[in-house]
Amino acid sequence: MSGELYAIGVDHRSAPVELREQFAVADDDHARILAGLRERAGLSEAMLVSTCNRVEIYGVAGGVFAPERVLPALAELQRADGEAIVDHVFVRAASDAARHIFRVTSSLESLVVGESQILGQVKDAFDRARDSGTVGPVLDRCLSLAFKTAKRVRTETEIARGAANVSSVAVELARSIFGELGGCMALVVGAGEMAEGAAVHLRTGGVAEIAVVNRSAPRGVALADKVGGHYEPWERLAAQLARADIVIASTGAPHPVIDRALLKPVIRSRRGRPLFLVDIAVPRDVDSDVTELPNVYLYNVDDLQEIVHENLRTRRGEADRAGAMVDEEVGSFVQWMRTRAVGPLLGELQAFGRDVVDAELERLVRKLGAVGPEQRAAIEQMGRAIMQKLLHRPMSNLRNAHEHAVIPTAMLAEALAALFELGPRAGDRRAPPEARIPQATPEDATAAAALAPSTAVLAPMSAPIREGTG
Amino acid sequence: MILLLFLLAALAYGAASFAYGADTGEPRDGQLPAIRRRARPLLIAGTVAHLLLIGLQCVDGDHPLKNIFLATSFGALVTSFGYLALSRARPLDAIGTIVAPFGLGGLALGVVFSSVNAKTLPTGGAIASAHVGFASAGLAGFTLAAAVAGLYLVTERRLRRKKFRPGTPTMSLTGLDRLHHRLVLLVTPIFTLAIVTGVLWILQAGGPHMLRGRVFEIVAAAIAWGASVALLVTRAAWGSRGRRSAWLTISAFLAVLLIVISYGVRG
Repeated sequence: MSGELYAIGVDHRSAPVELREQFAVADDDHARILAGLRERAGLSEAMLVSTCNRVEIYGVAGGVFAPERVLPALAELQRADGEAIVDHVFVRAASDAARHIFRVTSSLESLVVGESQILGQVKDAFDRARDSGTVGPVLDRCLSLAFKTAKRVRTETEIARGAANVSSVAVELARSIFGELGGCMALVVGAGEMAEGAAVHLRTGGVAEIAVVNRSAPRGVALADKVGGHYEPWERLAAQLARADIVIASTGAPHPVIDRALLKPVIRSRRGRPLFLVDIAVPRDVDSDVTELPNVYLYNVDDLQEIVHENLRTRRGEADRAGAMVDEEVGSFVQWMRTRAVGPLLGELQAFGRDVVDAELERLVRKLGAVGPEQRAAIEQMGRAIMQKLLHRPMSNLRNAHEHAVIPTAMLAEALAALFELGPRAGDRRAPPEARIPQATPEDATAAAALAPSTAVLAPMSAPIREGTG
Repeated sequence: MILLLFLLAALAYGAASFAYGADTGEPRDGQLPAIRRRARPLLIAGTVAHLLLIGLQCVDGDHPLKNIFLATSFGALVTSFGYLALSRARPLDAIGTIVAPFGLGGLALGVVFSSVNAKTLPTGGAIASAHVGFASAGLAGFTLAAAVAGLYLVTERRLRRKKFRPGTPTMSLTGLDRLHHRLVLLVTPIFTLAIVTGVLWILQAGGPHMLRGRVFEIVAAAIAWGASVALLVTRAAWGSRGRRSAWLTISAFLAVLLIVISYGVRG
């Protein structure tokens, strides 16, 4: 196991929904799929993110691992058509995989950039994988950092600012007028799909009461039942307007159904209470001259769309800033991976140094005969200081080799192991070689090509094995 | 020491005015930019220094009863305190852009002008003290109420013209309407007492003929009182609210401001 991180899957950019849906995994099926993937695809760690826009597997694997096998394995487990998906799969490895995971979690890869659901979905997927026992140190570290990054992106950029759909904008505007919507009454005029969507948003937003006025009673009653409201006949429109705080107009009428003549007496009876009219019908349901009445705020579908567009523009503008933050955090993760990889070797080197000092100290003490405890401590201290000073530079250089060394980290590590006879040659203290040898960066690989003939064992750390269309 | 406190308070009020007024763009995900987050601590620092300064002035015999400038300085201090209390749990940063410079102005009046050429108010014992106290509180209350009403009008106008960007951390329209009404409800009885004690003070100091010299102030006080009472009555009787109520509050404040200016100019 080399401990290489992979992100393999299909998303809304790489595959159409007809293909994605074949691979979608139900929440209660995660454990079975993860166990199957570990067995069939040779992943030492794995987690599965399955949402309406993506089915992705994040995993750790080593040795002779063929990432292309992962999706077909999933297809088998899901009894889906593995052949159809082959051209749509993306595979990212090492730092590219980490970057992908961080970007997905931070909602930079979402259909609507900055949407908040994906973070919760990835967290749920991570919890399920942990419950299934398929999360190891690499995924644990990677996802913890990804969650931290997502939080940072949300708080330090405007990526999530403003609603991204018309109904949410309407709810936000209603909040700007009324504050909390708990005490508000909403009136839905019409019973179409748009009206239903808006009513559901208002209910979620906390509106206390919803009345539905519609010409067709059965459709009106059906919508009222769906959104937990009550139906009122069309003749009671004016009476309901007098009671309502928020009005969603979405009928299929060819002419305005709410005009100044209807609203004027209503407004008088409202004693200055604001009335928020949201006209999402085309042709429009509310005559624009009602805005001349006091305390009436009318927004039609174009007005709401404009706010949505502005919000999305802001989000897109922030995506670059957020991307830079992600790169920064990915850098720290990659650094951790490298330190983790050379850590055991450095430990062995220090142990070797300690052994030498101890042995030489014993030899010297035997040779000198009577040595007091103070002298012994002084000699020991000097020995250890010399050892530390001698080892400090090579250890530090190995730790930071990826930043500025001409020789690749992996080669340095191999050389160090060979020169000091660390690892199996010196006993069996060392960890498996794959765990100790750091992976090379593309820069490392270039340098290695120039300097050494035998770098075939080193997989480029950040080069994707195959990029999908996403 | 007074000079040091004056400089400290002026610097803090000035920096707070800058921080509240700086164009920092839209807030990010409910988080204010760093400069705006410093505004409140700066205003607190300015207010505390202002309070200490007024305390020291009192020790030196320059108490708020002595002249209109010292009284106005005291009123500005009460306004700052009132705003800090109001904005603790409400997103009222926009009002800070008025309160901080108002505090600075009051501070300057209380130190610079009162020492230059201020006419000393006639002494009047408890009635005079009560009048200055009530009037200062009234000035502070109307200032805050008018600032809230002004914010209401700006927000309402932006909503009506579809220039409002939802999600901005500010109070809702109905919240602003309710807040300025409550402030007027609180300040109207105080201001009524200020008028009554003021008339009594004048009568005590010089008799009914003195009232004739104060016609402008009396008329302005009547307008302020009438506007605030009209607001309360129309709200209680007919539930009236919105733009008209906001304009009534602002009218009351302007009338009170005229009284203060008149006293400042005429002595």
